[in-house]
Amino acid sequence: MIAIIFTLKRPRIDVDLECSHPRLLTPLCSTAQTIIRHDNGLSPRLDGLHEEPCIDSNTSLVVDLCGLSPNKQSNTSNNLQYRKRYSDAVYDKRVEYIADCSGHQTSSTSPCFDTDTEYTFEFLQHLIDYNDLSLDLGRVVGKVKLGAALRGQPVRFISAAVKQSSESKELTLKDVDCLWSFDLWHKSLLP
Amino acid sequence: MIKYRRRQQEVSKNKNDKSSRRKSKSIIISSIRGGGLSSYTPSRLLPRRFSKSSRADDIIADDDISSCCKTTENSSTGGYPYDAISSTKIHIIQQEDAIPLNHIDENKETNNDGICDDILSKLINLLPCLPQTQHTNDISEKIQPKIPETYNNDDETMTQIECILRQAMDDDKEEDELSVPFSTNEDHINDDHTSYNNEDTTNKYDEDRLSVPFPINENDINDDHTSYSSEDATNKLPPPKEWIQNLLLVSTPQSNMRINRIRHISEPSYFDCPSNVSLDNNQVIELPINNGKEVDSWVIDFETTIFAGTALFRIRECDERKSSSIESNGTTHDYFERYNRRFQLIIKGKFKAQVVIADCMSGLLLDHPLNSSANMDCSDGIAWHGELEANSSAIEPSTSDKRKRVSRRLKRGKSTTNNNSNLPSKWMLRAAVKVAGVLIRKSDISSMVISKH
Repeated sequence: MIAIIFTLKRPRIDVDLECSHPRLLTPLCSTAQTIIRHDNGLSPRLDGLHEEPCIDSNTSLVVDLCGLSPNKQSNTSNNLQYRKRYSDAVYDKRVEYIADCSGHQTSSTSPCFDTDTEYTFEFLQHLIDYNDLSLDLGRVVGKVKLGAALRGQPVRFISAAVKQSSESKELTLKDVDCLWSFDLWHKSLLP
Repeated sequence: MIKYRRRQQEVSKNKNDKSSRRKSKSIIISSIRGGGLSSYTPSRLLPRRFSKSSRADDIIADDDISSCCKTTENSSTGGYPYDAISSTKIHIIQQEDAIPLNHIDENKETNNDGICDDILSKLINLLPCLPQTQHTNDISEKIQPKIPETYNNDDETMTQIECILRQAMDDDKEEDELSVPFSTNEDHINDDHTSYNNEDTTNKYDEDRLSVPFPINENDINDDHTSYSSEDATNKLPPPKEWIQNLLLVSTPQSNMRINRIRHISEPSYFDCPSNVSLDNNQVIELPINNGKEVDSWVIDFETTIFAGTALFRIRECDERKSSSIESNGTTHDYFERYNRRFQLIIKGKFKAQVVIADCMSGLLLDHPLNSSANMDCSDGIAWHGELEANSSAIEPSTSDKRKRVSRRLKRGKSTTNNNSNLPSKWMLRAAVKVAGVLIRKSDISSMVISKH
């Protein structure tokens, strides 16, 4: 049900919760709440407050995404929304390109992360209470405990570059190059 | 006056009786001293409060000569009342101190009833370090303890028994050190906590043995816990009792991610100051989670094949990292105070290789299938709103009945709406889904999964 809703409402989400390797993946640059790039190495402190930079600034990811415009002109002045729409446009173009080339694509047409630049990604979450491992859906529905659904698996925070060479429908850890991956265990997940 | 004199006589009589009793004691004591050594009771081991107790005289009588002399001096210069009492008794002991060791032998020869032997044997029994197996006639052999090889002859004030006691205490300390439940990597600790002062290095080292994320000894982990990795059976999760925090954060096995350093944010990162000493990533490493109240947050330096950077985790109301509790005590800083968010992850780093932006995905990727909704028991999955606020340990029987009743109705596909149930009705859920659908169409799906604020 959740997967269907996500797929219908958001085509860029890759969700399959009933396969042998359940996944719920979204484009990294659309998921992150804040992305800041720094060429000069003067990056902000990790524990400080992070704000999405203006898209005209050199510290915005839009610099890496330049040359591409979003499909739909945005009328919002929110830098975050601008960046997400740019990122979505890049992602859509990439998917189309892969479909046209039937998997034999090159990375030349799609923008890449700069190896000399330092990036800061910020992710936020307000629905899941990790202390009791439950999904808080407000006063109407209440809290849904996730421990039983996960079947003894940890909550995983993963960001990865998908290897396009893999032809299998189900993504596994072998099919991706991890940028980072952390497992969060709650005591309810252990027998 | 007559009464007063009589009292004085009685007091002097009592004194003589006591002194005669103490005389025999002091003889034994002096015999234990072995003639040449100062005292048998380790005065340094006696707490000072004993000297002011009601039995201070006895204790001081057992004390070494130097302390007795000091007490005598105090009494002469005017000290506490008990000082005067003790000084008189000490004086007697000082006289008896002159009694040589052979006096006991004579005493023993004259007293064939074995009283002296009994007292001695009791005394010897009280000293566990003395050999008690062989009872010979030679008392000097009886009371002569086995001197350890490490006995320090330089310290003249230290007796043999003191040495033995100290040796035993040292052995205990060594045993305590060896009985630390987890193996620790000293190099890692020294490397990762360079900001320690030299003054309290030992204390802080002991504290951090429990707090610093250490590699966990595999032998200490029971086999009945969930296997951390099915392929690498040696890697096991520690039981929740041994977790440093209420949640356990680890790097995903098989993700090729390497933890380089765990540090405070104020300390230099692994990438700025790389060192040869690195963490053993073959074992489970408990990674730190901040709760937003830390002044100096914990961060993790990590590295994968295509990315290298630093991560900071914050989870609202998470248990505080033990060693950081000192820092946050008394501070009012709370990151989550201004926000409704429950979780924050910040990653800062560089890409090591050219990575296509559009190929990078983020979210959840699991190794095993989830429990399907058909197999899930709604009564287990959904926590009633009323229960959340109440103590979970004190669930009323009526609540469990309610659960069963509602779950039965859910399985039959009937509405759960009635006066007693807190579940929303079907029409309400449908309406909520429709409203959510309209809202999602206007906003970003990521903003649903990932909060704005």
